[in-house]
This record gives sequence, C-alpha cells and structure tokens, in this order.
Amino acid sequence: MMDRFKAFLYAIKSEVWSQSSGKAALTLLSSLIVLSIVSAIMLPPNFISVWNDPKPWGIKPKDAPPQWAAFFGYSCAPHYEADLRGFRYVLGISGNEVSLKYTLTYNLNSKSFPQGIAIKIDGLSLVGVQSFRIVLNITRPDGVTVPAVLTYLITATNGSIAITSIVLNPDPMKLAGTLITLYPQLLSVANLNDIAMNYPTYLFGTLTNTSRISPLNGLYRLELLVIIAVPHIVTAADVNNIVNAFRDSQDFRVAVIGTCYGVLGTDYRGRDIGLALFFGLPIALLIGIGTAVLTTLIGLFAGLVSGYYGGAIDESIQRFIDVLGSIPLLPILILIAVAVQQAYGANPYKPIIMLLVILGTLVVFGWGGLAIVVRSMTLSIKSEAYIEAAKVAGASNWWIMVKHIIPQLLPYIAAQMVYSAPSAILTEAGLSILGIQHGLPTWGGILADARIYGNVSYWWWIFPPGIAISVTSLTFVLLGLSLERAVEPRLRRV
Amino acid sequence: MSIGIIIMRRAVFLALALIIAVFLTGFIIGATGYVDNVVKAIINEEVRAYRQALSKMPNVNQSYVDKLTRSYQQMLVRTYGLDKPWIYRIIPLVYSTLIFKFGDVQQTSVAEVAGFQLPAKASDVILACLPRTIVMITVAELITIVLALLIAPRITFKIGSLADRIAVIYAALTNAIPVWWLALVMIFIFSYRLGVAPQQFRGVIKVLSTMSSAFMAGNAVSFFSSFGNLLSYVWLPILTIVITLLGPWIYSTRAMLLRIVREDFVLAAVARGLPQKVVLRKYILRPALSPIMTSVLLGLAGTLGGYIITESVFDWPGMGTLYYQAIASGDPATILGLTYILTLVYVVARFILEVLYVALDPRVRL
Amino acid sequence: MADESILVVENLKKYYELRGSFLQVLGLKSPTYLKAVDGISFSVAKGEIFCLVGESGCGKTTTGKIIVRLLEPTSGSVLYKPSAEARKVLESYGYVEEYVDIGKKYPKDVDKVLRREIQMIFQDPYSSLNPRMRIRDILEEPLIIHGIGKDRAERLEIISRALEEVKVTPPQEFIDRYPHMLSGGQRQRVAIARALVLRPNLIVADEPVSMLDVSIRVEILQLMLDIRKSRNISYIFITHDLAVASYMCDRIAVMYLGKIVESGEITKVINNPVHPYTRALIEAVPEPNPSNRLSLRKVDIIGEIPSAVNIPPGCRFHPRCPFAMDVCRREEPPFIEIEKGHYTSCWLYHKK
Repeated sequence: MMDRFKAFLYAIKSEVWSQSSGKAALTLLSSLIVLSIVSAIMLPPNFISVWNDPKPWGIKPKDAPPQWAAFFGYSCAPHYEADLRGFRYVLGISGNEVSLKYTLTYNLNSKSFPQGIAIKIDGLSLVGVQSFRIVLNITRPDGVTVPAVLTYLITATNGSIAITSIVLNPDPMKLAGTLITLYPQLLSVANLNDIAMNYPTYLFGTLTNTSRISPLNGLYRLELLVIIAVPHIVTAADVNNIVNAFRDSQDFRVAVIGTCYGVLGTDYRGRDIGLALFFGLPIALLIGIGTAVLTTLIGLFAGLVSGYYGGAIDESIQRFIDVLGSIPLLPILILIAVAVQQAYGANPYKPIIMLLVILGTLVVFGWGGLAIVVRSMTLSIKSEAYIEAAKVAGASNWWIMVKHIIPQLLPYIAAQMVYSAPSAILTEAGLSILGIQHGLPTWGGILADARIYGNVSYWWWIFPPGIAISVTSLTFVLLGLSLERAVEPRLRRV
Repeated sequence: MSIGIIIMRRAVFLALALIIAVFLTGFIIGATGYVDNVVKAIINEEVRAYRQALSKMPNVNQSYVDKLTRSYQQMLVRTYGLDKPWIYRIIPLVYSTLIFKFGDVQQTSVAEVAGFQLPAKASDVILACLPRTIVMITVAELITIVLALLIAPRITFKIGSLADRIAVIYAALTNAIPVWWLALVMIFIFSYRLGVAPQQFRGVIKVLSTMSSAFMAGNAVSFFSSFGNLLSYVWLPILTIVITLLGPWIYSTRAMLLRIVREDFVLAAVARGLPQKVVLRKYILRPALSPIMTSVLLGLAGTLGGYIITESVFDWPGMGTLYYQAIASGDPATILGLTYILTLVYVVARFILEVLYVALDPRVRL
Repeated sequence: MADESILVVENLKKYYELRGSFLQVLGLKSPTYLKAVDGISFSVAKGEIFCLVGESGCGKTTTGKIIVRLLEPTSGSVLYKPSAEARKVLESYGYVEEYVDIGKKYPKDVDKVLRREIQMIFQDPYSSLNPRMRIRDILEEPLIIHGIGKDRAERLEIISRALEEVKVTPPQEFIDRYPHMLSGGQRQRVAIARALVLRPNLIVADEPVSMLDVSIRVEILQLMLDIRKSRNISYIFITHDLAVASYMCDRIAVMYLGKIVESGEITKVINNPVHPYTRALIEAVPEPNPSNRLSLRKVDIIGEIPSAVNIPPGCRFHPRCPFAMDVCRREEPPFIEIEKGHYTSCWLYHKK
C-alpha cells in the first residue's frame, strides 16, 4: 500500500514537474517550506510578546525605509548602534566612585537628521553599590561639546540595583536649554519648545546663511560616562564586581538612531518589518494549509456520504449546503470577529482565540462547494461495475468508500485543497485590513498597521507584506493549476 | 417530476435559506451580546449627561439626584429592552426586518457613511449607499465581464498559444494578488505619487447628489459636467477591480468553453468544415450560455453588497463600507437590513437562474 | 427434485416505485410501479447450470442481482441451501432450517457467510475490475474481507492457485499488472478467479462472454464448464444468446417482461420450443448455413418490447404475438407442464 502510494505521488510529481507552471510552483513551494522551517526554528518562543512590547524597539528608527533605499536617492542618516558590553573603556577610580568611560564616534554624512539618541539596558544587576549614574557628552564636528546630552541616575535600595529593561532618551527641555546656551543664535529661528520638540535637528544641525537648519556633517564624538558609587572607598573587589556586572548584563548599548534601517525598514514603533515578514511565513502557511486541509476533509466526507448513501441524508446535506451558500460569508465573518474581539477584550489569549474563530468560520462556510463536486463524482463512481463486484465480495460500505471511491477522488481533492489554501491567507489579511486586529504579527496585521499608523507613502511598509501574501498565494494557485492539469487530461494541451 | 414542482420546491428552499440567513445574523448579534455592550455604553453616556444636567441645577439635594438618576437609568434600560433576555429583543427585530420594516439607525458613524445625520432610517441609509456601489463595483464587474467574454472565446481555439499562456499566467497572478492590496498600491502610485487621482473618495457623495438633482431639473450641462466629476472619482477604483477580476473571469470562461470544445458534436462541426466563427457561435457559445449566465448573474448580484474590504480601503461610501461600519459600531437594524436585502437579491438571482435553466434546456424537462 | 436444489426462487417480484405526479408525491394517489421482475419461480440443483434467457430489459439481470443480494426483492422468496460450513455459523445464530431466505436481512456475520457462498461474474470485464488496482489487489480484496489466509504469503498462494485454475499463467507474471495491461479474455478470467477464491457454491454469471471477441468466447465458456466439473459448482447463467445457452445449460428459462414464459431442459426447449416468443428467439439465431437461412423464419414478432411500466393486460406478449387470441388480451395464461420437465405459459397450449 505504502509503495503504491509513493509511486502514485511520484507519478503526480513528475506530471506536475513536466509543466513550466508546475516547475515554478514546486520551486516556490519548496523554498517557502525551507524558509518557514528555518523561520520556525529561529522563532524566539516569546516573539509575539516581544513584538508587542515597545521597549526592545526603542532604539530603532521609526517609520524608516530600508538601508538600500539610499541607492534610490533616499537621504539616509546612518544608524549607529554599539554594544558596550564588548567595548573598550577607560576605568577611573576616585574615592568611592568607579567610572567607565566609553568613547564612540558617529559619522554623519547625509541630508537628513538622525531621529535621536538612546541607551538601552537589559538585565543589569549591581550588588553592594550606592548609586548608578550615566552621563553622555557629545562633541560636534565644529568642536563644540554639548555636555550632558543624556543623563540618568538611580540610587540603590538595600545596596543593590536591578534593571530588567530600560530605554533612556535625552530630556528634551534640558537639552534644548543647553543647546541655546551654546548656540544663542538658534533663538532667531526657533523657541525653546521647538528645539525641545525636535532636539535631534538642533543637536545634529547647524544654522545656514539662509537662516535654516541643515545637518552638520562630520564626525561626532560620543563620550559616555558610567559612574557607580559604592558605600566605601573603592577596592579591587568592587571594580571586579562592577566590570563583571556590565559584562554579564543581557544588553547594554547606545544608539544614534538613523533614518534607514534593516533589510525591509521599520514600522511606527521601530519594529523590523523584515523580521515580522520572516516570522510571519510559518504562520501564513499554517493558516492557509490548516484551513485548506480541514475544509477539504469536511467537504470530502460530506460529499462522499451524500453521494454514496443518497436518499434523505443526501437531500438534507444538499439543502444545508444551499443555505450555507446563500448566507453572505464576509459580513458574518466580520460580525463574528468583531463580537469575539469585544468579548475577549482583556484575555491574554485573545489573539489566538480570534484567529481560531476566524479560521473556524472559514471552515464552516467553506466546505460546500467541494462537497457538491465530490458528491457528483461519487455518484458516477458508485455506478461502476467494480463497486458492485466489491459488494458481492462482501465489502462493507466503509470498505468501498475507503478502498474504491476515495482513491479515485484523491487527485481532484488534492488540486482543490491546494486551490483553497490561499483563500484563508487572503481572508485573514483582508480582515486585518478592515481593522479587525488580533494583534499577531501576521502579514495582514503588518499591512493593517501600515493603513492605521502609517502613511500611504511608506512604500516599504505596504509593498513587502502584500508581495509576500501574493507570492505565497501564487505558489498555491500555480500548483493547483498544474495539479489540475495532471489529473484532468481534458485540460492538457493538445 | 413536473417542472412546476421542481420550481416550487426550489422556491421554498431558497426562501428558507433567506430566512435562516437573517435569523443566523440576528442570533450572532444577540447571542454574542456585543450590541448589548454598545447599548450599555450609550445608556451610561446618557445617564452621565443626565446627572450632570441635574447637578448644575441650583440647590438640589444629592440623594434626590441619585434617586432621579437611578429611575432615569431604569427607564432607559426598559426602553432599550436590556431588562429582557436578548432573544426577546432579537426575534421582533428579525421579524420586522423580514417584513421590510428595518427600524432606525442608532450610530452616528453609520449615518455618516450615507452622508446623513441622526435620526435616520436604516432603509434610507441603505438606499443612499446603493447607487454609489453600483457606479463603482457593479460597473467594474460589468466591464470585466464584457472584456472576459470578448477575450475568452478568442483563445479557446488556441490552447497553448502565446496568447493563451499569457492569459493563464495573468489569471494565476491576479488570482493571487488581493484586490484590496492592489487598491493600496494604486492609491499610493496614482493618488500620492502621480497625483492624478483623488486622495479622498467621500466626495463622490456630493457629485452623485448634484448629478441626480441636475437630472431631475433636466439641466444637461450641469449633469454632464458632474458626470466628468464622477469619472474622476471612479476611474481608479474601477481600474483596480477590473485588473484583478479580469484574470479569473477569463480563466473560468475559458474553462467552461474548453469543456465544450472537446465534445464530439463540436469535432463533428469542425470536421464538416464549418468556419470557426460559426462553430464558435452555434456549437460552443450556445451550450456554454447557461453556465456563463449563471456566473454573470450571480456575480452581478454579489456586487450589490459591495466589496467590503476594497470599498473600505478606498473609503468609498457604498454598501460595503456601510456594512462594515454597521458591524463595527454595532447597529443591528442596518446589519439585519443589509443582510436581508443582499441575501434576497442573491436568492432571487438564483431562482431566476433555475427558472431559466428549465426554460432554456430541453433536457431538464422530463 | 426439491431436496437436491441449492436454490429455490418462489414468486419473486421486484417493483420500483415511481412518484411522477404532484398527487403521488403527496401520497394522495397510489404510485406507479416499474415491474422489473413480476413473480418468477425456478430452482437450481447442485452442480447444475441454469440459464435465464431473454431480451434486454426482461428482468434477467435484476433477478441475478437479487440472488447475489445486490438488490432486495419486493416480495417472494429466494431460498438457498447453505453448505455444511456455513450451517455452523447460521445455527449459532439460531437459523436451523435447511434453507435460508437470502432476500431477507441477516446479522453481519451471517450476511458475510451467505455472501461468500454466492458469487457473481459481471458482463463487462473492463469495468468490473477497478482500474487503479493491480490483479493481486483485486483478488486479495475478497480474501481480506472474509479473513481467508492468515497472512499475505498465504493469500498470495491462494491467488496464484486461483489464477492457475483460470489459466492465467504463469501467475507471477500477472499479479502485479493493472487490468488495462490485460486482454479482454484475460480480464474475464481474472474476474472468474475473483469469484472462485471464495469457494462459492453458486455463481451468477451475467452475460459473461457478450463483451468478448467471438473467438475467445468458447474458451471462457469451456473454462466455466471445467470449473463446474472440478468443483461441482452451480451456475445461474444469464444470456440473451440462445446459442451460448444451448452450449452451456442443463435447464433454461425464457423471460419476457419480468415473467418466465417457458422453461425446461435445454434440449426439450431448443428442439421443441412451444411459446411463440421462444420460437421467435430461436429462429432469430443466425444460421451459419446459407441454405437454411430462409426456410427457418416462420414466426414474425412485431415491434419492440414494451416498457415495464405499462405492462399489457392479459398475456404480456400478446401485442407482439402473431397468434394472439381474444383470451390473450383478457387473462394471463397459467404456467402449465406440456411434457415432463417442460413448462410454458401460453393460451395456445391450454387444454380446456
């Protein structure tokens, strides 16, 4: 049985492969599957919560096009990020204070201003200390040093400091004050509030002859001081302790936030769209294939029973399909989704529940068409003499369906199943577009974000998810086309 | 079985399907309780306003305000029917919908889609949105159908030719591209980058009303100038829909024709040396008429509901947007009215088809 | 004779209900019936070949399908005498009579045992073998269903022996082939083997050679005769071809519109046909000798066989009968014995 099934699969495969659309489909499908396996393996278990947590994305550019956009004339202020855990520092000790001094350089060569400056600390724990202070000074290419661009102070409780996750930004008002002191002429084009609101423009800009602010290109020197006070005169053990604490922290980095980022750019929270597309692939395939398999199984079963047994069973199944077919699916689907969205407002499993309800509704309303086809095929197979022969041999109804009818239906079923795979992906995405958000980083979810939070001109946010959806659908459509041709000789070219 | 019985049976089942569809919608609205939540929010808002108004009055006693507010709230709960189980509220609503008494719109956002202010009747709101969907979606579908019926027969005899391959690849591509995504892309390109299409489509409300009043007044100049205005609004949505729908339409028409091309009677006709045009018209298109008619009629009936997602992407104030807005804001009268009207149109279209089948196909008559 | 009969059919009827008009659908008017088989009786002895002969639509295939239990009779009984082996199972379920009515429903196990004993050979060897199954799968199917052979190897052994018996040799060469790789004759041999693997006592052969080339018909018929000899199997042989019938049968029954019009030992019926319909059938057999061609045509039956929905009153053959009399139009003729073992129902032979 198994070897026959393999031979059958092989025959189908070679039949599909012999067509150019089949070749394209199989190539696309295998690369999608390989990609989604890689993605599923690499997918961090907490990706969904990380995705919805603003902190990890706080040091990334927001609404940023991809880096390669620079080749197409976008002026990209470079994004600079340094992991300080492995960075060279100068150690200073005075009295009860230990200081680590990091010196970094940022090269601005763009017509755009960077989006800001941020420091991110994750999982740092200091024991036996009094306080922890950070001061960031920046020396601009014109030689002027802007002191205390970013400062941070935290005092210990019970001698220890524990930071789980924090993103630090400059205090805009304070920074604006500093900038006005250093460059009083700025007041001719802006007031304190303007400067505070747009501090990156003034921190990285200069006043031109035409009284406009333009980026001051050149090398910026960032001097980051980390100062830790201990309750007594610093000992070697303290130094060791502090240096180890920073080395063992989960993350400790400083960033000059640019305007272009990553392979596919970022969204309104600075989240990497490429990452979401990559991790959205297995979800999309699961949605498509799962729904298609369920729909097909129900359609196969209903059509088989309807056609084989006939009579009242047949009549009631057919009438049920009639009713299902008359009900407008999309409005009902939206209605159910909106109701679930409200009912599970605060439930942490809401995203999953919503997705399952949407897919479940698609399955419930989706099997009718296939059942009708399966029924008519079953009717014609049922009247074959070999079915009567099997009955005379004592075969039960179940046996006849499984051994004689289903194998005949299988190729058609396969083609239908493949055809129906994209519809679930498209519908899920369509509902997201309408604003029925389940909150999962699906491709539809990203597109929906683009509609709600984005701007139509953010092409990197609109095109890639749509292309991903279309390519995946196209794979299934092409595969269905060539499967259909493989099993339906009438459609073959003469 | 006689023809009359077949047709009567179908009519009964289709009517049953229609009633079930409306009831099912009603049950989803009622059982999930989400309209209740909306109503509760409205009541709370009204009670808050009432209390505020009361407390602004000079020298009123606090406990008296509480008492008045409470009785006001109870009155509201009774008026909205929240004191009874949902089934007592939904069944009468469904019943009155079925006898074409659609009730009132409750949500401002729903009335706004139609360009109305509250109070408004659900039936008026639906009637206001219908022509906007017809000038966009139905017209687009009609153009698509005409193009498909012109193109498909031309490639039927040339299976495997370049034109045929292009048609199949085009169909596969457009089958895979969601129409609402293409809409986003088209808006991005034509409205924002090139600036040749409007960025806001709600303006079509005004254009259509100018047009209809010009028509009523018999003002040809004003009518045709508004018609130009209308075109400036509809061309982009129509182009988008035609691009995405044309492929699948050509493919399915081609498949229907192909099934007939391989029949013996067509081969016999070709063998007799009849010209291709005659064979196509007499031996292929005529038997293909009923399946093609089915998809045309059902397709057109389907357009009246609007394409919810596409209309919503264009922010087109038609039936689809109305439907979505009614569902999203919880407006039972409009939801039920729309479901009823659209299912009715679909069911009637199917019934007409069944009658036509019997009338056109001599084999159906036993 | 009854004590050695393996099958006794008594007054068997198979009607199909037609609800045509509106009143009938509502049940206000009695439905019209299609009378496919309208009260036939016959018996088959152990090791006997019994032929049912008639034009298409006369009910002979329906009768065959009722006997192999593909159809349920409307009324009448089909009494079958099970083998000793089957008896044990039947008795354990409380069926102790010598004959069981296989027109009725039985518990699953009894049903299986009874099915196993009566097998069928179908007319069309091209459609009676599943095109997607190999020969071994086709022959193994009944074995698996009935739990014959303890493992695959043993079943394969049984299959090989069956193939040898029907002279599809060497079996190894054929078992992995698909039906379309076989000739029509080979296919019908496989179909016979499928019936044989269950070791039946009675085989219903429904026109087993009518779809085959004339040149191989005799081989298949001879094979069936050989099997009868070696296994002492009974056949109900359904055919429209009197030449084939006279080659195969011990006894024959001629059917017309759901009724038997003449029956008896084959030599008696062929040499001395009494019913006008039988005579017409015999005279319609092509005569290879040209000099005899014209001399034999004596009975001319008129027109086509009527529909089984509108059965003519009286003798159902009267509208086509050249000898029709008044009584034929009014009353159905009784079934009478005209010589020993030779019966007919025709008013011409009714002695007042």
